[in-house]
Amino acid sequence: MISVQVPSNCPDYRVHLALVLKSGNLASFDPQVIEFLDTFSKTVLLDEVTRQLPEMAVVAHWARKAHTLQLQAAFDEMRGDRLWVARGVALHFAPANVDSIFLYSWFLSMLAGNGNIVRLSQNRKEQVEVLLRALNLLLQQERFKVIQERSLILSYEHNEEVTQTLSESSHLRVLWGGDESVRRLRRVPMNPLASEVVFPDRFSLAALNAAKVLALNQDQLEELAGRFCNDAYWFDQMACSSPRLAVWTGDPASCCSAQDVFWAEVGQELANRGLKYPEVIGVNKLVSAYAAAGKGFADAIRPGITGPISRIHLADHANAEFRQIECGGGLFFETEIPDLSQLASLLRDRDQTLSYFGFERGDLLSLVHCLPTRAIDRIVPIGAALNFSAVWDGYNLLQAFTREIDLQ
Amino acid sequence: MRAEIAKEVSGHNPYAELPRAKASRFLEEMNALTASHAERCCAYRRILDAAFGGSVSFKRLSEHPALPVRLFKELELCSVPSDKVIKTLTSSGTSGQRPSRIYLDQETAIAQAHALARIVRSFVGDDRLPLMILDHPDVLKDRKSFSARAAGILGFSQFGVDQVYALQSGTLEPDWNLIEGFLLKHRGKRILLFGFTFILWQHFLRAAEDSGRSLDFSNSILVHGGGWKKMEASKVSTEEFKRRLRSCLGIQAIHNYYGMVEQAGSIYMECEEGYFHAADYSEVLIRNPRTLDATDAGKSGLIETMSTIPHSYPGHHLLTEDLGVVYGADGCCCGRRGTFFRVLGRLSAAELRGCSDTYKVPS
Repeated sequence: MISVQVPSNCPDYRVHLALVLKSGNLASFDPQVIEFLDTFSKTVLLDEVTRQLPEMAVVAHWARKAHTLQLQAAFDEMRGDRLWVARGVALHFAPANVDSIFLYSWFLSMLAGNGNIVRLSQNRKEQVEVLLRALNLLLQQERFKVIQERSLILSYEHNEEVTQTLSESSHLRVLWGGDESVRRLRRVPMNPLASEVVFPDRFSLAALNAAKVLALNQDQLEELAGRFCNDAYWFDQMACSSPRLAVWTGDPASCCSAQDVFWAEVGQELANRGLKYPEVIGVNKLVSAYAAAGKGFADAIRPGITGPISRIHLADHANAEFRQIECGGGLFFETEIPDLSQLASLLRDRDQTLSYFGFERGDLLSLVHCLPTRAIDRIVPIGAALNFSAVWDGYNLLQAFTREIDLQ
Repeated sequence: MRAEIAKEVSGHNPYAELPRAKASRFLEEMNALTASHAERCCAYRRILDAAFGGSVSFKRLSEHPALPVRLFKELELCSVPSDKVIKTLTSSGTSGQRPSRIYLDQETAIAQAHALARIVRSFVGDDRLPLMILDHPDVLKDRKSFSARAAGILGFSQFGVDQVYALQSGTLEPDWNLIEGFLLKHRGKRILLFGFTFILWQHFLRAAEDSGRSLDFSNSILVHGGGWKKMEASKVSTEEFKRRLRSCLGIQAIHNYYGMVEQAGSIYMECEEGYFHAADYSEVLIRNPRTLDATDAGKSGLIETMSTIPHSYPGHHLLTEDLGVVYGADGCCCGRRGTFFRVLGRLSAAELRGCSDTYKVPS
């Protein structure tokens, strides 16, 4: 069963697909696209319901004109005199877990000048429906006709035939989702001319310099704890860039004291925010912690495992598999190393965001030079882990969504 | 020591032990099981090391470590070599989840059957009664890997003679001719009825009500179990369930039991007063779901169940996701000793899914 979400008056997706395919590219950062995104932003921020949703408020903030013009300036600076044009029609598969991702993916591709097809999950929350209604109302306006002709948002149960039709029609395929969906979708061939950008499951971690944490005064410590809470708890620790491992650097005694003060402050911050998970989350954490211990990933489970901060000490010989324990709600593996240069050996291909506190740029640069094969795509200060950036998972998205014409 | 314990609990009534005597015996048995599983099950040993500093001996039952029931879905927990496993019990995993796998060796399987017999006989008597299973025979098809339902049916078969299945395979509709024939044949005799709560509600009681047939089960004793989870969705209370069983089928003696495949055998039978009782094989504790602190009698919380039966897997102390209240260790009006309690329902499930807005931390 195929349901077309945008445009709302389309009875058959193939009819609108044909229109998207023949409408042609726009210039990058077309003023009509910038205007559309700005109007979308205002709609979300003025709506009583949508503006209450932090996630939507962040997208709306991202889509406002002041920000897209900044993106344009950065884009222009990066391409210089080179000719970067749209790739054609982009096909996006949105993830089921993070609703706002389809907007970023679609908007950036639109800014790059592409036509877009977005496949949404069948399993959508009410807030997405609200958003789709708003988008449909906007796209009915005559001034956004160029966008309407170049956008098709639909949803269907897994159906290889439809995925194949859409994949054959597109010039770019963007896959967001878990490893399983990425594997499944990748089995469907694309148009030979098409390229692909893939965002599978990732793992993220935080590195903290114990001595620097111990040197903080109370205000600074509170600020650090607050930033860490944003990274870890805003999306219940289920965002791919939320830290699930805390690596401490320093001698064992400093690490131990730094952990005590840091986690106590995080606990205080969570209490101030009134964080209270449903009781079953505590049981989930107990199951995850015991499973980690039973499989040999953990050598110590701290008391209070069912509370908001659940700390599990990584066993010395834990292999990369501990990353598969996806519990959420504030379950942290922890380990200590003498200094940042030892971090590289702990990292794996799956690792995406390293958020840090207390390291110099030089230390981080040295780390970058000894990273294993595919590990780490983002290194950001603690507090910035969740900020969506046009550079994601190693791709500069605007660059990946365009192609370069060689004019000699 | 084991033989001594066995002798102590082998009396006829499994609800006779005085609370103080039971408390010390039970703690001793739990500690012995913990030490033994820690030696034989590597995953269990690692959990004790990580969460309990490697300790295998505890001063109070409330300090004794419980494994969350769901852990049996995540880990292979077995304390005997695989060639000693004679039977594997599985729990129904909800969609996307692996089922629990419980490994039984000869000793544990016998101990389960023995415990079940002593407990159930204390309710239905020592004579084998004509048995009607309120289910269909195909549940038992796979003899190596047992569902909780199959294990229950098989366990209860030992208390009956002339066993029949009331439901037809495939359609799950009652076989009225067979049922009426069975009642006629055993008229005047006591009959044992056994079934899974939801199945008997959905496919037997409601079908009987709809059929308008007059069926006289007034001389029978019904034992049912399997949980109230599915019943909650159909909005039937225990009282209504019993009332309708009485008014439609005339069944007077109705005993629910609380049990789980992870601790098969040492079930908790519901007494005439409507309380589940711990027999001398088992004990329950209630914990605050947030802190896991043991709570006082009369306060609701997560039910922890203990059993002296599991020898082939470390399932002697489990934290369930059921909510309940303990009312006391002795003094139930039914006359039985043993901690008596009620089950209130299940801890509601919740899913964290990234940008979930349900339990959002305000930024």
